[in-house]
Amino acid sequence: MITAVQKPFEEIYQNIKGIEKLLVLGCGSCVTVCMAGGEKEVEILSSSIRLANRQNGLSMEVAEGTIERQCDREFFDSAKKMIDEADAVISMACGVGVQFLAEEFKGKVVFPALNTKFYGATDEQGVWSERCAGCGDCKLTDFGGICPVARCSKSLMNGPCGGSSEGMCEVDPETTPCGWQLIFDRMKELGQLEKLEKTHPPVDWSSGRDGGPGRIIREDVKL
Amino acid sequence: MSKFLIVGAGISGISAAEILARKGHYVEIIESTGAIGGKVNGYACKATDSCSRCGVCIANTSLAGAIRNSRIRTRTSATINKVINNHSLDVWIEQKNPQIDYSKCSFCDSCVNSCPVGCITKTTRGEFTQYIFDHEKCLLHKGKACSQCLENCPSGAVEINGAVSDMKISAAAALIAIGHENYDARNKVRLGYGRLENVFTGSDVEEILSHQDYLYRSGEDVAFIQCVGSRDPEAGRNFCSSVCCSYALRLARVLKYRNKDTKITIYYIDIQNFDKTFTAFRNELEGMGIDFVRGIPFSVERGRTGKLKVLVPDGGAVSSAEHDALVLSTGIAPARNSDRIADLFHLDSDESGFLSSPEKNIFVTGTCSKPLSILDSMTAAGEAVRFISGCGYGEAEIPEITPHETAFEVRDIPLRRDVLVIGAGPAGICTASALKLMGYPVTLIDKNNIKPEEDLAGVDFITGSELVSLDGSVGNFIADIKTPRGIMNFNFGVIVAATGTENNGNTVSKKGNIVSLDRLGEAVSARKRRREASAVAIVLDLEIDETRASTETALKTALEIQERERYQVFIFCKDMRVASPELERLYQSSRDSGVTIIKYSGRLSVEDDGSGVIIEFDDPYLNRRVVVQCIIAGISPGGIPQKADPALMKLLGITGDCYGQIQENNVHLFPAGTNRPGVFALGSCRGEHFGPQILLDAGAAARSIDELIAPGIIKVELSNVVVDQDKCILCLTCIRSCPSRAMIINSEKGCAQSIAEVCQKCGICVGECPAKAIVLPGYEDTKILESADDAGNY
Amino acid sequence: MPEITKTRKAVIFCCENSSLAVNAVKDTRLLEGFEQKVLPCSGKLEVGLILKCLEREHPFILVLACPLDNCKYLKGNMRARKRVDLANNICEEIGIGGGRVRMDYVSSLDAHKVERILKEVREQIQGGLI
Ligand SMILES: Cc1cc2nc3c(=O)[nH]c(=O)nc-3n(C[C@H](O)[C@H](O)[C@H](O)COP(=O)(O)OP(=O)(O)OC[C@H]3O[C@@H](n4cnc5c(N)ncnc54)[C@H](O)[C@@H]3O)c2cc1C
Repeated sequence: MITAVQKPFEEIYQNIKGIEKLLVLGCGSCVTVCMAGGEKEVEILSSSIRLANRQNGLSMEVAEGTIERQCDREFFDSAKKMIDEADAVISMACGVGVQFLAEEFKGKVVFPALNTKFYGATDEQGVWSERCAGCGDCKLTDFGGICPVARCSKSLMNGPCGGSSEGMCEVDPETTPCGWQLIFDRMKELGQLEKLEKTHPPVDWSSGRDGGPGRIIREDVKL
Repeated sequence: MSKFLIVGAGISGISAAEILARKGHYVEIIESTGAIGGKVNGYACKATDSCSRCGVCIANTSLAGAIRNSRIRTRTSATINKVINNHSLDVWIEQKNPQIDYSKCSFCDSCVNSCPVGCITKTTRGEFTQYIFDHEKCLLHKGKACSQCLENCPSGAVEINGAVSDMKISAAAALIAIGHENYDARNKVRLGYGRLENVFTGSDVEEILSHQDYLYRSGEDVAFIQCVGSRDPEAGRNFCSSVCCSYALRLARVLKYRNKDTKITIYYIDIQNFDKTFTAFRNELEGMGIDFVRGIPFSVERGRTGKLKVLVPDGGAVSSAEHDALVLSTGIAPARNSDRIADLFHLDSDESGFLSSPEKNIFVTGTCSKPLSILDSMTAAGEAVRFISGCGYGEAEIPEITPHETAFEVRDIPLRRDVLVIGAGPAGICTASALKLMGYPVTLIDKNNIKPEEDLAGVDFITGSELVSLDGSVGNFIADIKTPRGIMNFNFGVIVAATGTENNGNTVSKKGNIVSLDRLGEAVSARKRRREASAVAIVLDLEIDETRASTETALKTALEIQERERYQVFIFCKDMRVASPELERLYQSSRDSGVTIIKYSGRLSVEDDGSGVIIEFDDPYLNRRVVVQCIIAGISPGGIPQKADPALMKLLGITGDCYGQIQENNVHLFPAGTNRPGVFALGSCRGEHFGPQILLDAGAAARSIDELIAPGIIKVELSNVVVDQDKCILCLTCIRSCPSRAMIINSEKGCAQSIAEVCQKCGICVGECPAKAIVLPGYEDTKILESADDAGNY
Repeated sequence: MPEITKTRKAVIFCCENSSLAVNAVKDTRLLEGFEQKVLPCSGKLEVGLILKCLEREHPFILVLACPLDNCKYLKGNMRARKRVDLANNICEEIGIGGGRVRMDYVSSLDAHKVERILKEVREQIQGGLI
């Protein structure tokens, strides 16, 4: 899933000064799972804004809503009326949802409420961690199912750097394991250490973010 | 269906009555005082921000439930005048009126309000409410014909039949549960009780702390003196009262919590281990700054400064200290009229005044039989019931759903009566046998190929077997068991874990001079005889506090080795755990036979130097580090934390405590319940190692299981949480956070769902769900937010 | 006993057990100015509910839960603790001041403790501290 965390209230609140009718719109997918922008968070943020307004003597109507996904146009239909009526919308979706909302409702002011973080998994309730960097050229076959791009802080392809110590990464030795240690341990477990002797050429990053905005076109499924 | 008589409406009598009534029997309880509940009525909740498991809240809940039961009739202010126990048991009693039949009472207070002289007091403690009459004031007892309380009672719960009425009660059997009196601290004249101000007893402090934050003034200096009238052969009381360390430490913690400036000292002989996470508890107290001083003061006087000056034996000398207030931790002594009851019912009384019954239809339980805590009294009462009513003791009642809740549909969910018991140690075997006797089909499995000595006829015993997967829920578990014949599939209504602990065996040295305590006897025998006397060490309390179980093993081993030629046994311990009469005797005889007990403080180190063992420790008497050489040392595994099998815990879906033993240390689950309905756990895996206690817990487990499965159905009110299919996104939060494992995924509907018979309706999942997809009926947000002073604006 | 001066009542969220202690408060005047909302377990409480109460101009929110290790549902009280902390942080962040939400652990027998807490809260409200 795409993970995100909420921005500091102050940052969100700065944006909406002077707005008369505000809609806080949640997203019912990834960000609900990672507890950042689902219906519960919408309720909390909306209440917070209303309370802050009262404290500051501002009058602003704050409406609340949550749709299935903000990354598919059709789902906006159910919230269309609310969005139209609002002067501005705070989207509690990931960066994708915020932009899609803005695209769909031209002329509507849209603000993000979240900082979108990474593609991650739930380690346990309240703990999420990154697994994929979306490089566009999956190499997990060669590394026993552990990604050097996403799990090594430097995205090194041919073994660890000198900053790997006691299994931990120098970038954050307290919490971040060295990706290459994980790869090594796993390959050893699988009895495939010899696979690691293969030298990987410099990565062509153009298949991912460095190649510019990504786009997938599937003629076979296009209507 | 029979009628039983119970004498004494303390927690013991009431607990027994509740079980009897649940099994369909009728119970008459005779209580000599005007109040129901016994000593527990005067006890404070001993929680700070965290519970200390004193059991007082549980007792009150139990009292509240029992008195409302229509099969239980409690007669207060009643005296037994005559007992004839020939062919049947006939008892003549005399009771003071008015009486209240609580099964009819609606607790509306009309009686209190209508009494012209205000002789009725209402007391409420948690769920438990009762009305107490002051007969001194009551007009009825002044010869007037007043019956205002009766006339004004809207539910016909008040009964009056003259000021005093006589009646004869015939019963199938009687249970004597007359409890105890506190040891009279006045007997210890030098300790100043009743002579000096600000000298209190434990029960005074219980009472005071129920309504006040301090004893005498805020920021006072309080000292607790343990073992007042316990472990005191001179007073003819050579036994540990077993409740005083627990109440004193808990009360001390409460005092310190309520005011950090309160200074607290505890004078003691040995602190008893009374809780499965006791070491953590004691560390907490020490961390709060509570002082533990070994040695019992022998004299208290008012010092020149006006404070209480205590003299304490200190090594060979005497030291003195001053305190503002003293708490004498008095022990358990016979009930006031214990002799009379013993005469009436032909009971036996031991040298300390504890009662037992030689008669077939008279039973004794509670603190009149031996020292017991509240929770242990409740368990013991259950065990007594088992003897009273025979084992297949009647039909269980199907729990009634109270009328105000029937806004919801009530459904009968059938459940299986088959029970799986995992682990064939004493805990598992006792539970299995008890259930078998009650008539349930029992499967007992053990991963080892063991052959139990007990007769397990009728129990399906499969050795070399393990549970490998578990599905379903209470009443309908589906288990895969790996047996020597391959994987077999079974269905069970209930599962009991009695799997003991994983032996972590890290107590043994390579050079062979340090062995595990259970192998010490053999290891000593295997040695060549030496000319000179050799010292053998037994080391207790190495990392955590020992329990009664390992203390018993240590003492028995010590005695056995000491009695051989030329051996001197030293037992190194922090405290001797003797909270059971047989242990105190064992302790006495091992000292008599020459075993030396050395009490250390802080950390002790044991080194194997190849030729023997070197033990180093801080001696609190000599106030320096001491080194002792022995030929061999036995280390008690009880002094090292032992974990339950984590894989099994996961499989069963049950949680653990801070030591990795089964189940959080939560009183609501005592003694054998777990977070998951239908799963029970007891014995060492739960942290209880002491044989006699395990037997009691096994009985309690069997009774809880019986209560659950006897009706063959579970009556479930369908007020469990409801998941909105459209909103649920299967994030698993509810499944992870449900304490009782009531949430599952309905794959057809593609959403989470609660299992009605498991859901406890706590609403924790509602509080967690990030999509706000779950609703607890009756607790919708709009309903919660409704306010009496809503001006229609919201 | 002086009246709480705010327009609306202060809210007591409590679980079924701690509500027994509230109901057993001897000096019932202490309860004037408060309204009790009973939840089955304190773990049912949500931050959103707390904030909504503040929005509705209830001046103060008191949350009562069972002592730790005494929750019938094991950890409901710990969940409530976290939510109360979060609610206070939010109040701080949005500039209405933390300390409007208070949580205490009380058992069903702790009427005496509830009385003390109620007195402290009254003083806090009347003293204009919030
Ligand atoms: C100071 C102190 C503090 C304690 N604190 C704790 C604690 O915090 N936690 C804990 O677990 N345990 C505690 N205990 C132990 C606890 O008191 C007992 O476990 C409990 O009271 C035992 O209950 P019981 O019903 O057996 O006896 P009791 O509570 O003594 O009840 C016996 C009942 O029988 C009645 N009775 C007596 N004689 C007769 C008669 N002739 N006819 C009719 N009725 C009669 C009595 O009036 C009484 O109601 C404490 C003990 C002491 C001394």
